[in-house]
Amino acid sequence: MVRHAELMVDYCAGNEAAFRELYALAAPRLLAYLICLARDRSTAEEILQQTFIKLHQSRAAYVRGADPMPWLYTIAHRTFLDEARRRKRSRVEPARTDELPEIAVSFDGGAANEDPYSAEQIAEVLAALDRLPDNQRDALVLTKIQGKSIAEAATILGTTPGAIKLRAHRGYVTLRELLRSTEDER
Amino acid sequence: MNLDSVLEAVSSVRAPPPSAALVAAVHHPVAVRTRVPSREIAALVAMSVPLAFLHAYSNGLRTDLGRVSPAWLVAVGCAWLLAFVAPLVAVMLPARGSVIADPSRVLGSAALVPAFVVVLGITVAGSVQAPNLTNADEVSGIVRCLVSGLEVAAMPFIVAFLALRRAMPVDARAMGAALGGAGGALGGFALHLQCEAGGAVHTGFGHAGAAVVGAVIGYLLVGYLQRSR
Repeated sequence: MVRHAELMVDYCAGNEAAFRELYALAAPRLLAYLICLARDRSTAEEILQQTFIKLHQSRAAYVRGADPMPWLYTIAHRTFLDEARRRKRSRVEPARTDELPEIAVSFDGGAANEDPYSAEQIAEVLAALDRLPDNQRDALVLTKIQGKSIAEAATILGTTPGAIKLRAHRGYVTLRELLRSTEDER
Repeated sequence: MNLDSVLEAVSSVRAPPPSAALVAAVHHPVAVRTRVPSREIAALVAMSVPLAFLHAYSNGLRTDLGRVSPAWLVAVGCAWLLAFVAPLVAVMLPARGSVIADPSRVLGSAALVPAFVVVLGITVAGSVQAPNLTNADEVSGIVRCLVSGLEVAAMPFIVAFLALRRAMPVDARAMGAALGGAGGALGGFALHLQCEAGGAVHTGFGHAGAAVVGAVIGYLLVGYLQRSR
């Protein structure tokens, strides 16, 4: 995360290349997070772009030397909430394409990992995530999918580490039950 | 299927390149001065404390200034100011290496500071002799002081909120409560200088009440602002 901080400092100093590198490092993680929240890839991509525009507008709020990632997650999450409210107000429901995350590629273009799971299985998990209460889903996505520590997730969501632990655990148990019942139905 | 592995697979996505709008927005970015939290806190305290003095002076300083012990006056005043500064530090000064404040510290200050000032109001500040008042006078006095305290609370709350609006967590209601409590404690400080009405009930509800009501208003207002953007 030191690299993220260095890039953010350079970017705030007016270095455009630093922004591009920061985008390359942060965007895949943020997009995965937004797909879990929005469950729609095109909406998530749109919010991702808005997130970075907001980052650009808010860069004076950055504290020199700090890891910008938790802050970026809060900007992304709040942009998602704003967008969801805007769509609700204008009664425009996004057409859920259920388009699935692509397999990651490393920066040199090669495959980042071999994904042993089918698109259908991932779609099932995303659909089950969508059925969790918001606070459980947020805690679960940050800790189990994004790999954030309990403390980082608490900072992003603005609650205590104890609450995050409890929500993530409950969310995980509920998610497992939802997936088991889906498998039983088949 | 192994749920942990599937969850890990969900995080593997390829991001699109920056959009044309984003590229245009960040083209040749202007260098900006980043936030220095300690400087912001110092500036806010330097603005707010004179405002509290001014408020007390314009409403008339307490008439028993010559009779109360200067040591008591200063010590209790410092306790009110401590209750103002402590939540500001918790909310505005992030942990090392972070942009956002530590949520445990924020929640702690949002809950503890109003409780502390109520105890302060009831025990220490209420130790001056209470005048003989009817119940109606007592209630109207409490309401007057409460409103006066909240007037003082407004400025630091608004300034701190504006300073932090781009560095808040997803749920910032606790931050709102802590800032409201801080503003209310400053209101309590101003009331300490201007109101000679003693008694645990008056200072407990009227003076310390500004911090409690400020915290509740801050919590609700920030929640509302976050929802209505």
